[in-house]
Parts: sequence; C-alpha cells; structure tokens
Amino acid sequence: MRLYKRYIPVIALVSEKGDMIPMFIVWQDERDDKKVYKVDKVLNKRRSFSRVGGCGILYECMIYGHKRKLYLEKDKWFIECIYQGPLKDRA
Amino acid sequence: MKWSRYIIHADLNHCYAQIEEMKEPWLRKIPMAVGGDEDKRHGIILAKNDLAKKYGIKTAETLRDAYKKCPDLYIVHPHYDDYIYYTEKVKDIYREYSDKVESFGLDEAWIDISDSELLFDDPIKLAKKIQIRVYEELGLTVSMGISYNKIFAKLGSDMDKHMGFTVISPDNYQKMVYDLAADDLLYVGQATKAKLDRLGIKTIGDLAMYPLSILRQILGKNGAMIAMFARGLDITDVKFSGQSREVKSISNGVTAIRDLSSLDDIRMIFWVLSESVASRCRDKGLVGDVIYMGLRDNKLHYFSRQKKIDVATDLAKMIFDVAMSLFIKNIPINNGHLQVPFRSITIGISHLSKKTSYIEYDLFDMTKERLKEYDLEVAIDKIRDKYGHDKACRLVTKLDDELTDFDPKGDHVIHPESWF
Repeated sequence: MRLYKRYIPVIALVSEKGDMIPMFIVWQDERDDKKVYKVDKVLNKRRSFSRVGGCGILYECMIYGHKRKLYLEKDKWFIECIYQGPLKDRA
Repeated sequence: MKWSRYIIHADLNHCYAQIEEMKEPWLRKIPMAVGGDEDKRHGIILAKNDLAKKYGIKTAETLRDAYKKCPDLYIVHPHYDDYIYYTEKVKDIYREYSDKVESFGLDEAWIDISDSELLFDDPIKLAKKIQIRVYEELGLTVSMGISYNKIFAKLGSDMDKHMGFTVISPDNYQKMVYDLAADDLLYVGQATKAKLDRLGIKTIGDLAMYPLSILRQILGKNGAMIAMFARGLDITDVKFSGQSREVKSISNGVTAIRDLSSLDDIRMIFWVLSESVASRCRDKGLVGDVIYMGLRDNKLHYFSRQKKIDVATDLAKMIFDVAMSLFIKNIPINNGHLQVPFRSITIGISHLSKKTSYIEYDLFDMTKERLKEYDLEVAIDKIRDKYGHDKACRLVTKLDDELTDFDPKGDHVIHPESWF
C-alpha cells in the first residue's frame, strides 16, 4: 500500500477549551469534483510524525467507514491517503 | 550510587538536514544537503544527510566543492522558520521535565533532571523516555549524553550520533572518556590543541593526569579550566529556561558574490556589515569597545585583527572607521587594489556593556557629532524596519548594487553561540 501526503480543507470545531476537533473533510478528486465527508469519530488524538512526512497533532479518525490518519501540521491539515494509481487504470 | 547531578546533553543530529528529511522523507534516500544560493555564492553547505556525508561532503564547504565530490547532490535551500519552529517544539518536550533547559544553539540543549526524579522516573529512564518522545512526536532523532556534569554530558552526546544514548557516570568516566582525543573536549580548539600537543598531551586522560600547576603556567586560566573539565570537575549550572546567555559579542559576516579585489569593494561590504552590527547593538541596548574584523582570502586563509577603542559605541560609522583602519594598516594595497582578493568578511564588536547614557566624553569631545550620527542611524533603522532593508542605504554601497544586496541583520536569524 503506497501512501502519500495530501493537504486538504477541513471543517473543524473549536471547543470551549480551545481544542480543535475535525468535523468534515473536503475531498477533491481528479475530476475536480468536491465531496464532503463527515468525520464519524475521532478514535485517538496525539502528537506524532507521519510516515509520509511532517509532524503535528494526529487525529486517527473513522471517515466513511474507513480508518484514516488526519494531521494538524502548524495551521494546515493533511491526510495520509492511499495511492490508487492513475485514473485510467481504475475501474 | 546516586550521582551528584543528572544532566542530559541532547543534540538534534544534523539538525537542518534532519528537519528537511522529516518533512520530505524521500530526501533520506538521496545524498542531500541544506545550503545557500549558489548564484549569490553565499553558497555553503549548512548541513548534510548521512548519504551526502559518505561522499565526504563537509559542513561549511562551498556548494561548488560539494558538487565536485558528488555531482548528484540534491540541495535544499534553508527554511529557517521551520528550523526555529521544530527545534522549539523539541525543547518544549524537554521543558515538560525540568525548569533547567539551557539552549546551546538551535539544535543542542542541556537539561538538568536532578530534581525531576521525585516527579518522574529514574533519571536514566527519564532521559530515554524524552528521547523516544521526541522521535515519536516529531519524527526527529536526538543523540543524548547523560552525565553528572555539562562537559561530560556534551562529550557523551557526541560519541554516538545516531540517536545515541551514552551514559558517563562518576564510576565509569575514566573508561569512557580518558582515551578520547583532548580536542573532543568542549573549549579545546585548534590553538589549545597545538599547545597541548607540544606538552605531549594527546588524550583527555593525559590532560587529566597532567600537573595542574604546569598547565596553568603555560595555558593560563584556561589551562586550569580544561584540566578540571577533563577530571569531571566541571560544576557550571544548567541555566533556567528563559535565562538567556549573556551576549559576549555581536558580529556579522558574509561570503560575497564575487572576490573582493579593491578597496572600494571592501568599503562597501564593511559598511553593510557595520550597519547590521551597530543596529543589532542598539536593539539590545549594548555598546562595545573592541572592534574586530576577520577576512578569508580566496585561498581560504583566515586572518583577523581587533582594536580597543576609547569610548564604547553602537554606531556603524565608528565600527566602520575602526575596521577600515585595521584593514588599511594590515593589508597591502596597491593603488586601491588588493594583492590578495578576499572572499568572506566578518565584522564584530565585543567587550559589550549595557548602554547607560549617551553623553560620554573623550579627549576631543566629539559628542555632538556622535549624537548627530546616532540620530541618523536610528532614522535609517526605522525606515528599514517599516519599509524594508533596501529602502535606505549609504550611497557608497550603491557602487555595486549586486555586491551589497544582502541584509545581514534580517537574513541571519540564527547566530552561532559560543560557550562563554
């Protein structure tokens, strides 16, 4: 499984204590279609580096039935995503 | 046995390069170095990764020399903001465990955890825990030396550079350090090493055994000090966090975009550097009365001279005048041309003290002129702070725009630190 790093827009809630909680992520596919996915659950939150480069606050999330690693790096969000290969090779 | 103190020295391995690798892990697979812009010829290697090191690439050598050794070397331009940000994050972790965290440059720090035992763990375990946390949370490796004094802790962190973890205890220190070369010791530089060589002192062990009185005679105060270091008797404290090191000198240097072959070239560079040094003095509210210049010619020979002046100053004009007089006195000049072209220049001021009042009298009472010059320079600072460095300059620096197109004060946010 090849992973890569992708910066994405995130809609987050700032709690009364100042904690940042991701609520939705915005995904733009190769066809430029934008989709909004709900973050169903934050399973785990801790400081960590990422295998795809960078470090920050890691939110391990359930998104659309999948476990994904979402990072808040300084003031930007990125997600570790799985490389699917070029569009034409996919069904 | 419980030690008198537990001090960690933590060193972020090849700092700049490692931070770049953390951000872009593929850089680990190729020879890579962090370096300046080659066109501008501030082109030197600031840090390199392990693969680049295998090619014999050294920190501080020019990009050109580095490419000769490794044509495929990948150069990353420095991102100082990131280096400051991430090294500060590393130190934030240290600071969770002790109120005594003393920075030594961006990438190194001493942490005194003697009093942390009650709150946390056994000190050695705690040190390991800190090292692992830095790796897990930031993806960065630090080498650690743990000992009962700062000098041995530093020595320990240098012994194994790959996330090493070296414990030098009061029981094993002779076995651990006595065989190391004497110049591995902090504050034993080239000059001291040469003197030690003449005495037949090769290792730290030799230094520790040597009669103190003779060392003191030959090397003075410093001789006694390094002998104490070698015996593990360093008692300097790790400073509290936020307690910054007292500034001993302020300097700026540059490697010019081309060789400097005329007096005009020198004059231009001296002005830019003097202005930066003076402006930094004023920012800190300091004045100094020893002015020095250092020159490196195009064969990389280094030469420096200094002069003490009567009245401590924070004026660029004053610094410039003294540096220029040192230059003219020491360097052969032929009709405005230099016999040996220079490549990099440093200007600095030391013997600093807090500025009290501006009115100080000297023999010829130049106070009025000096006040005028002061107002002028402060005005230039203000314009530069507000609108940018290039918005105000001395006309003389306009003789060659490209040569003087650098801002030492703004560009060099990171100044190397020295021990004292």
